Amino acid sequence: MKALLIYNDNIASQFVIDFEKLGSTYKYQVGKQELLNSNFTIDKKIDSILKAEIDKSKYDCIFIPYSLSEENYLEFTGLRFACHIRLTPEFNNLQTPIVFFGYETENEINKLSEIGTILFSKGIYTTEKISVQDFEKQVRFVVNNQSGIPEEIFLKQFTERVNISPSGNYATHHSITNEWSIYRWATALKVENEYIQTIEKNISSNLYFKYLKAQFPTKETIDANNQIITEDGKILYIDDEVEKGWDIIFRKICTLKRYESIGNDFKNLDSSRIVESAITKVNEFNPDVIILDFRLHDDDFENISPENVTGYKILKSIKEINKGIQVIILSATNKIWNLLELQKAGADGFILKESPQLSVEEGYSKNAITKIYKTINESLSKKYLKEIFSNIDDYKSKLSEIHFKDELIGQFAIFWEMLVKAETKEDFAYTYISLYMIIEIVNKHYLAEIEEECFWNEQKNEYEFKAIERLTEWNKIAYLYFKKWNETDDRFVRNLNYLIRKRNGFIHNDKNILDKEDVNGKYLNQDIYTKEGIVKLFKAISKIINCIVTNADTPHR
Amino acid sequence: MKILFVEDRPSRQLLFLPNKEKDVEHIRSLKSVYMPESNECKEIIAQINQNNYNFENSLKLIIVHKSALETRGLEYINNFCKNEKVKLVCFSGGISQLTYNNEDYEFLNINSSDFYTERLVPFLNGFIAEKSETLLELANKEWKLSYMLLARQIIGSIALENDEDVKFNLEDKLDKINNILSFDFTINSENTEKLNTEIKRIILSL
Repeated sequence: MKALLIYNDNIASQFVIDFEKLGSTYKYQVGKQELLNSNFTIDKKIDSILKAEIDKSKYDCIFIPYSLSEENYLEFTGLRFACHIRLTPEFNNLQTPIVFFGYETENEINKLSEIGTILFSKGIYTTEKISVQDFEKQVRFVVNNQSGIPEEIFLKQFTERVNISPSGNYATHHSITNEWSIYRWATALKVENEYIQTIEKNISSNLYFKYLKAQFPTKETIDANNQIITEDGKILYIDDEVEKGWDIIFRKICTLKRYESIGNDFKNLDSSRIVESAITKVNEFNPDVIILDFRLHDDDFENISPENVTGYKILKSIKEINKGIQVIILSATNKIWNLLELQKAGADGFILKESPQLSVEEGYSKNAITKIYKTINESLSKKYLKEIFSNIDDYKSKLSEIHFKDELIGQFAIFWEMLVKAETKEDFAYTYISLYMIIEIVNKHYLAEIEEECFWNEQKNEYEFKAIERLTEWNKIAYLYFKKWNETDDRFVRNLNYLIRKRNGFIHNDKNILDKEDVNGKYLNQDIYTKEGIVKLFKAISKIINCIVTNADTPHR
Repeated sequence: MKILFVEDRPSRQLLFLPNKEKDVEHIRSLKSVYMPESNECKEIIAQINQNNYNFENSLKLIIVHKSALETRGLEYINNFCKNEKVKLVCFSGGISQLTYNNEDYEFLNINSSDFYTERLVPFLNGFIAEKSETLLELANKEWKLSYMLLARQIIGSIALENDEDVKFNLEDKLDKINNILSFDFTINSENTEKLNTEIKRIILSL
């Protein structure tokens, strides 16, 4: 017979001595010194007892009083201890019968303790008869009545019967998912620091996480350590818990990129000050991509509407600075309406934290991390938007003296809306056409002055002008460039010709233009269907805008 | 000052206390409670962690956000409480289970959400008026039941105990419980039935 008695100072010492003929004993005690350690938790204490202090051999039966607390019976530490036995495979006694002893009835305990339902789970017995003779009878009884079942089924039945709640700091699924994601993704990425270690220890010792692991068993060995961010650019990470594991994860993902983070001091700030601090950092660092935690303040975990959540307010402020800055929201939220609100406010991507429920799916962590790389890469590939937005924003003031400024600004706004929504090759081509219309607007407003056509005299190897009846848009803009603005860069004008030809090729579906190969066999004009084509045209148009602004005071000829 | 209340994240009070601003204002209005704010609070936490904070002699209770302090700071408070018999409440979001200890001085380790409840303001009022019996009043409105169940466990153990020293200690614990509960009967082996009846009555009423 090999029984185990867990006891405390309130149990008669003689009884403990007598029990030793049935097996071994373990005295549970927690000193004040331990309680005052800033890292102490009851779960860590019990976990360490089971993994390191009690002999881990297989017992026939384990006896525990309902309460192991010496001075506050209602703590019911005995019940918690038993739950740990059931959920700690390392102790080797998952299915060992447990007998609770005390003077209360099962129903009374169930009424007084949240985890009282353990008394109605498989392999649990109770007794009011506290004597070694009675305990000996109990051991014989439970041994005779024991029937082993597969561990998975046993744990499934246990988790269905017993409801274990998270502690106060895990009051919402967000904080559980947060810690769980850090644990899973740090393991997959093979990153470690003291915070990650703390989380790992917590997850391996905390009763609620043990319960989740039993509820959602994961078997995979995950490794997502072989990916890289290929696009260039600057990345900023904003989170109030920046140092608690997330920073090292994103630092690893963004290796070799210009990466910075902020949020360490957010715990001491109210929501509006957090927004202020984040925006100051955005202005200083001028990132291309921002990874933004959705909930950055205690109040954000209250049941408030999305637009009052600190992350949402920061997102709005970032988009006020520059709509082209790509913002990826990091969130544990599973509420679709929150995500939709964020999308409406300008969120460009989402990284959803991994909850224990999701980890059941084979390969989930690895796939989630691959998606993070993809999301960041895609966002960085759109960093041209930031520059384009910044230029358009500048034009609003630069063009203030130009008489047709409203038309120009209006067209730039249409172009911008089309650009941010462009996904297909046709979208990009139509966006190109929209941008090209700036040239038409400029030409239209100076048309009356132009009476000559610009052409390239190949013999003389220079541009010439002659009066004509019908002018092309290129003729007009070239005329303006050389004659009105007195510019001399003929390569620019020739390049402008290519850019305009591309537009014409698309509008007239002219295969001779669009499918034309260069000497290297590249279809250069096909870039009308890409962001690269748009960036080229935008640069040319920027030069035209600068000419207009520089020559704003030049009288019309 | 009777009570030093160190909370470095005051927004939590508004989050958890049932009457929000009203409760916070009430606590702030209590002359016997010293609850430092912002920089002053940070300064005090730093001094406690550096073991150079001077606790006032009139102090009877310290309430502190446990996570704000390092183990060194908590040890400094422990020594003070032990020497001066000052009670101590440590609250934190990370405390998964309430722990009460009465070795040398009364000590309560409690989760923030269990601490900031409708029990806090009446407890502070009662403590200032010297009408409070135990820190467990903060933890559970059925704190008397906790003592009664404990007493029943101890009575059972006394009956099984042969070691006179151990028996004496258990009887001493029982005396302390009797003092706290002040029932019209003494809780002992002869009155077990009365105790059982009272326990059943309370549990049924829940």
